[in-house]
Amino acid sequence: MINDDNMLNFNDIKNILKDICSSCPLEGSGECVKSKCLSGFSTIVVEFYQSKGKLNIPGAETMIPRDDFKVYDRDLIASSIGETCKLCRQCRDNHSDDCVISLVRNSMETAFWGDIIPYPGNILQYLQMVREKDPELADYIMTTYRRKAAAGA
Amino acid sequence: MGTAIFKQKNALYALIAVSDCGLISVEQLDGLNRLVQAANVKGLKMTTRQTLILLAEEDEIANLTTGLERIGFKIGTFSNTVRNVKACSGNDDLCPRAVGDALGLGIAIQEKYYGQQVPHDFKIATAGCSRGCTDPLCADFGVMCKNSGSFDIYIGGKGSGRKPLHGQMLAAGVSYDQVFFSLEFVLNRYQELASGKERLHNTIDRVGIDKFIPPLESHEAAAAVDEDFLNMLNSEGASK
Repeated sequence: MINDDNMLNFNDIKNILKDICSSCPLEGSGECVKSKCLSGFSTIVVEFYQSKGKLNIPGAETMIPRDDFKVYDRDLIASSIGETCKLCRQCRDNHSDDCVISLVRNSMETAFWGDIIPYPGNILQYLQMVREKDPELADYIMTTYRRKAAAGA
Repeated sequence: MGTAIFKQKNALYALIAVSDCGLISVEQLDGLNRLVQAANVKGLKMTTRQTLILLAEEDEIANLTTGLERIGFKIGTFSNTVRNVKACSGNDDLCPRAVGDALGLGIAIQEKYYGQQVPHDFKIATAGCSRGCTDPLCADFGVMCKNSGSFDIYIGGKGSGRKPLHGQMLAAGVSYDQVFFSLEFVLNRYQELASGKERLHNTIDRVGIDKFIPPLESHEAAAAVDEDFLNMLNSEGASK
């Protein structure tokens, strides 16, 4: 793992992903294939960032396992999306779907809705788009985001 | 996997020596000359599959086998295996008519797949141009160079027997890497779908060629993915 002050801190997201995996019946069953699971894929993406320091992984967006139809804990998924908002660098026009943060968010959106919201490159516009799709989730994400921001996490 | 050593009518044994798609270096030829003389080989015959038959007494076969392997030949296989690859001399240096590197491709395929177990005979041929000197349409898996770095693939051909068949086109204009991806895919599907010891063209007749069409688009997408990440994804695919 790279130790660098400039590295983004994905520990909270990793803990949520760990909780998601813990509640999965496939965990530890010998049948779990991380690369074919939205939570497992997100974990690999984060660990790749932490070991290589690459925030943008060319082509990785095409590898998201969109045919993972497992039922996930919606509260945990919503929390993880909130965490991605906290980490987002708000790159606007320079946003990349191969960004590690975006990969986790897209994976979690797929776990939540079965599809993704095209990311506009900033949080406020994104939350507005979420609100149009699911006001309850938008409130939840906003609460998580504000709590984290207030805590300076 | 059967070793290609066959007793002949005259009681001699025929041992099949396989080189890199028929290429024999000067050093190998020199070694072969000394080997066949030492083993009192009675005669040699070149085959249609670019191999060499050595005719010898039974008690010389073990020495010949060891000697051939020492000078870089493989011993032939038969029955349900991937056979030696037949390739023309098409590459950048040799045949002036070739538009691609059929010889290099053939050698690389043979290196990777020779002797692999399959439900029935599996013959591969590569040709450097559409003249098809190695009969790629008469092979279970035939490749024809379209131009440099671009290949057409045919499967389900058969050159021998009472009912020879031309293969059907599987993919057109694919890359070098995609030839390997396609071959791997076809071999896997053949293993899964063949009914007993069924030749590939019979399996295709029964289940349809669509079952053998490789997902080249997803392969192409994977090829564009960061290699380190792809390695990590593959190595950490299974839960720990």
